[in-house]
Amino acid sequence: MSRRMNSREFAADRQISTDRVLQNFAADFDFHEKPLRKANEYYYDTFDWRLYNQGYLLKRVGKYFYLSSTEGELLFKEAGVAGKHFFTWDLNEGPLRQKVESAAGIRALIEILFLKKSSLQINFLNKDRKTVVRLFHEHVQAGNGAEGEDVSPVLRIVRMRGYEKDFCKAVRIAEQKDFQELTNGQTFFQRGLTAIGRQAGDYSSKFEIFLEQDITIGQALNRIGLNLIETMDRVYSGVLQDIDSEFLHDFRVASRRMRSFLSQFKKSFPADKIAFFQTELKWLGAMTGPVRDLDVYLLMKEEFKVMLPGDLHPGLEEFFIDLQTMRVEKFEEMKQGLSSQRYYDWNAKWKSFLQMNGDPVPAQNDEQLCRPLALKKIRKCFKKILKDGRRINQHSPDEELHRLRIQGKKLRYLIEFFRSFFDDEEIEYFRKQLKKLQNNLGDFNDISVQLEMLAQSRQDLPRSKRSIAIAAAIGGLVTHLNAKQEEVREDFTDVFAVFASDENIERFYSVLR
Amino acid sequence: MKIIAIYCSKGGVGKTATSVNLAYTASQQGYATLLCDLDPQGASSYYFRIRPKKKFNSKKLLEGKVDKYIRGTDFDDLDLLPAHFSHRNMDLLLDREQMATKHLRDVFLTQKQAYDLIILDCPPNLTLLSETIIESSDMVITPVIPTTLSMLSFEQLLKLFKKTGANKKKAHAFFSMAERRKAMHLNTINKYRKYSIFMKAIIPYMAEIEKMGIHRKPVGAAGRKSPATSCYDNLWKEIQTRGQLI
Repeated sequence: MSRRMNSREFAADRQISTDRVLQNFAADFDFHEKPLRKANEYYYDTFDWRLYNQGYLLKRVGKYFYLSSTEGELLFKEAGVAGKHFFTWDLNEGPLRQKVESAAGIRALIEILFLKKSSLQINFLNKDRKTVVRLFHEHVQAGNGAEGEDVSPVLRIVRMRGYEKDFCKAVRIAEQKDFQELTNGQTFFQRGLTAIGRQAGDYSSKFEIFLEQDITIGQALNRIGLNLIETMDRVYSGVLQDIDSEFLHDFRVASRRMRSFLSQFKKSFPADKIAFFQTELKWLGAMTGPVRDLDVYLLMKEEFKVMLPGDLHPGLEEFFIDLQTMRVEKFEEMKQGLSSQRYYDWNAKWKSFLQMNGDPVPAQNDEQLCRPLALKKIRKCFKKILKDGRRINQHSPDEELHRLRIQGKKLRYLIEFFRSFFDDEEIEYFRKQLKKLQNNLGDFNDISVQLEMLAQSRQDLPRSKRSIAIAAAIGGLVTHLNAKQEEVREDFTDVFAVFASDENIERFYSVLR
Repeated sequence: MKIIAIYCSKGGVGKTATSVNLAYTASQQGYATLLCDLDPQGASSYYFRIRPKKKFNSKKLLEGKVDKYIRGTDFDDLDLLPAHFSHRNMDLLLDREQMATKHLRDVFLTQKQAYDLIILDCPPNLTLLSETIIESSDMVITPVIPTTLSMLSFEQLLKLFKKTGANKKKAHAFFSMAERRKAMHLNTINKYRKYSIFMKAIIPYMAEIEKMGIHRKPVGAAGRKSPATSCYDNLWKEIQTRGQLI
């Protein structure tokens, strides 16, 4: 029975035909050859492997989706069709969709691998002409939209329940005839990924880098810069194809990290060399900002809806139609920018500046170690946050909270760049404390930005009946958001008090020693 | 896991053809199925070209040591526990060991992790083994040829149910090997089809089913949708509904 069969796999030379393979077994078995079976398999996951990370594989063959565990156990099968990418709500309702939804959320499911399989099944028969062993000669081509790459053909010998002796005999023959056994247990999915130069889970939005304690500042910029440009290059086509708003988010975060690093350590590098990159990174931020802002607003539709009574919903719908239209325009502008010669030049120059061969980036002082410099920066940044934060009270202008948020972000980036310098548990504790503060400040800032956007939108409304409904909805949102922002501000005092508690300060300074 | 017995005290009514074809149909629909050939004549085993392992016998079966004697058929999701000549004395063993009438159920429950369905191809007799089979199964399906003698066997089955106090709702019947051109067949069908114990599906007499002995495979495995395949599909659908298998 198939679900309890086990098998052994051997590498087969591309040049060897199935007939040649069978000659090896002809003295011991009769054969029955089944018709050649061909199947195209399409594998989908989010760009950051959310399904795989939760132990799932989503595959489509013909008109069916198959959700299985990464160990190969089939969990659900469901009819459905799909293109190169789709969202969970494009799947038919049912348990398969529920599982995918719980893992992928609102992220797009993208074709990550395409396998073109052809499989020839040969049944090995006993004297009663009963199948006692099955042999599969499988050829696979792997691709991800571009041309297919050949994956080494495989001979799979499959055990039939109750016919163990015959199975052992077939395996023994394969071993004696020098077929190389594949013992790493890799599936065609994994082999296919390897063939196209990828591996499962090879992208994560999380920034992780390991810097040795004695690394120089030039080496650190080389490592960090290359890591970030790799992220940007990887998500670049996803941004342009507008598959999922998260591509742009990751793209922007990577560029912001670069900018932050350069600004923090500008004195360590020749000013004439890095000024260009600072200008260009600023340009990138400004160029991609409007689309990201609109993405955030559009994702907030349901949240906004809850804030308003039902009679203002039609106005809100109209408002979102306008936002959507605006996004189309802004996206086109951004696309032009990202496809421009200016962008390509920046990308190429940045890579050449970063020393692709792994050499350190030339610094003011090539011997300067990164760790002491990083410690100094982190201490300074932390002190400033404590000083500025303590000054803030109920009457402080909004700008002070915004400035504190930016300081907090700088500190967060510094901690993420250099976390390998510190005790992992302690720095993680501190990162979490900082995150709580950042969440509060982030909420405050988000509401400010939303209020600004709403005020601007109301101002830009033409005179019409439709505008009256939109203005009413905007008015409702502004009232609600103002009240919410007050709440967030009130929370700040408590949140900051926890962050800047004596215990936390002492603990943090001890980490930095 | 459900245990379905294909049982009739009379021989030659199509029990084996029914067992083999239903097991095949169920497995093709994804039910992990085990067919148990309890008939010492071993016709089901013959159809699947499977011989029992040398050390297998009815004692091993009744001791519940079946795991290593189950063999895979040529079809996915369908395994078979082959018949053994010693099965002819299973009654004696059951009696001698004073085994409970539900004993076979305990034996097959050891397989509940591996299978969704167990189909028992039963020998034609009216003995202690018959009682054990009825007690151990969730459904007892009996093929009835629309003739006087076959109806007599059917009545005997009902009597056995009554005598043993078995739940009558487990009993289901269908007309097997029915021939339109025979008046007696038509009259019998018309007379009894109104009783709810009879399923609507009828398996006619067909050369194609008889030829299973030559081809040694289920009718559905020929690779094309034949009239016989459709008949067994319909019968299976009704069993699924009655046995709440869907």
